[in-house]
Amino acid sequence: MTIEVHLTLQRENFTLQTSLSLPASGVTALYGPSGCGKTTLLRAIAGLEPAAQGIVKTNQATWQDKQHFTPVHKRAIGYVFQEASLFEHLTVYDNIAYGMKRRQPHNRVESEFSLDLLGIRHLLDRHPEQLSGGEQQRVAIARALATQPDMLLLDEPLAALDNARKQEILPYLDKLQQKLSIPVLYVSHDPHEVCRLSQYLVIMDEGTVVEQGATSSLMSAPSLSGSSLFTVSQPEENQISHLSRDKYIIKARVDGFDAESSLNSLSFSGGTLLIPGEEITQPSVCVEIAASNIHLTTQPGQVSSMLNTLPCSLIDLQPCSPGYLTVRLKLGDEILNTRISRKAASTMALRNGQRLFAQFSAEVASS
Amino acid sequence: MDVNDFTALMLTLKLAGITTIILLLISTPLAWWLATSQWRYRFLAEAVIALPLVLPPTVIGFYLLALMGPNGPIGELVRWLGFRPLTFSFTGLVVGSVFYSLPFVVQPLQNSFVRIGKRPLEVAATLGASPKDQFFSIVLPLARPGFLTAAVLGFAHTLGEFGVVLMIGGNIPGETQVISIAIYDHVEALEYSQAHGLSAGLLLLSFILLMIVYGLNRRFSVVRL
Repeated sequence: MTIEVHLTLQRENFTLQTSLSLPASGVTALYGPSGCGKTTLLRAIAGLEPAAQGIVKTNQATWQDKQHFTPVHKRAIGYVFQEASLFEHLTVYDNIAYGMKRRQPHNRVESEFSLDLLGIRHLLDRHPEQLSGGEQQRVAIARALATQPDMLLLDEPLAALDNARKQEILPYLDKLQQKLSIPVLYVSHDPHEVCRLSQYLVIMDEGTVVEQGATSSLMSAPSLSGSSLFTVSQPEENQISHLSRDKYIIKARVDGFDAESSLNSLSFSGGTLLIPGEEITQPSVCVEIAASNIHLTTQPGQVSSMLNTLPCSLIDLQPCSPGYLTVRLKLGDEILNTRISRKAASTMALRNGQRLFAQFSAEVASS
Repeated sequence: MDVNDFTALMLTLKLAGITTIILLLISTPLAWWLATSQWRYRFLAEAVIALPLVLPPTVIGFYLLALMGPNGPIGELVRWLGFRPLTFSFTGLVVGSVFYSLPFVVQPLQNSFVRIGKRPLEVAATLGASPKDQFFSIVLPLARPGFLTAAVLGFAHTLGEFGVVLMIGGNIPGETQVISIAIYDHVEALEYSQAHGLSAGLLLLSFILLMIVYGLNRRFSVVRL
């Protein structure tokens, strides 16, 4: 069961050309730098870009093909824009009722459930201007969900909010991801959000799909190493950098917490990670590893201040700057780059394919 | 106030009322089109609609007279259809007033439509509202201050009409003699106290109307409409 999206849209200095089969459940992230066409693609799927030509097909219906185009108001979608865009002349209750009256969802209880899911029941009598930015966006999401759509489309719902407001909404999005049975398309340019919320990832650039696949495997895919797509500290989003990435983001499952030493234990494809700090309450989190903090050793037994020592294999070595080499490592399914001195490489007698141990410390990514 | 002045006042209010209703009906679709159209030559339409803002009313009146007079194309059409000529009639005044006050109604509406923008309509569409439904459930309520401004400005501007009326309507009591013409008559006849009475009345009425517009718009703007 998939959602088929094959769309072309020609603009003056921009062409969108995508051919996608997206999973019909779970959260799919559309990710890429600003101007890559991810929002335009989302709008086209919703029918908000009538000039887009091609095919949009869900499990339930064909929304668009050569012969026919279902107008926006007849597509069973829930759409959340970057700004909450609540109707200012209506109360929160009437905003939510607006969609329910028109879409006539079959199960009122389920619509009511969206109020609890987003925690907005106490806001129903208010007017939009009496709500904080975060509350407005939660109402907008509930308004979309209350219509019981076949698909939920979220266009950077956090981008217009400051960090405190983001932290306020993210737990609700976590819940959404766990409780919703309908597919969710989530547009974002923030790797943390993508890692935290999505299971499937579509990476776009200049109007086309660069890569797609499971989020956990794509985030460190070899084809992306060397690009800045998942570096956290690149100031210029669009700039492609050939330097090794500064920080890696890995999705890890939370396994347990040792209260005595205040240590979380997590697992990912490369093994077990230990992260000190407060207990992590989410079932899975994104973990950051600083590339410059990865130490290599040939022996596992050495005592080190680094908490994590995991087996890895050396893929290859490439010269980067005078006296330095870039080492590509395979750690489980993840591929990481780090930099070591030429001298160290010869002392350790490093060669391609060699088994090594990576020592590093990790921390929970703060999005 | 003598009977004649009272008749002129009532006629003026009737003219302004009817004109405002017709203008709202014409201007709503026109302003919506101007606010949303991508047409390249839209500016031409905007310029034509704005003409009464800058032209002397006598110029508008002169051309309307030429068009609606017995030898003008509209005049001939009206005669062919079997109606009374429009010149020197109340109907003619209504037609003239509609042209004369058009920009005062179209522009506030157009501005408020533009200010609403596309986003609320897109949201409404994703919530299942058809284009017609979007207009009545979103655009109309959000543009309420614009409609209020448009109605009051159209009404008040028609109240003060003089040049156009003089050209196409003349000065027939009970038919085309509006209040501004009555004031002119009084001054011509050196009846300053009557002129003053009517003038003060018109001044007060206009002031009250404008106060309502600005007062209500301030109240509404709390909801940032």
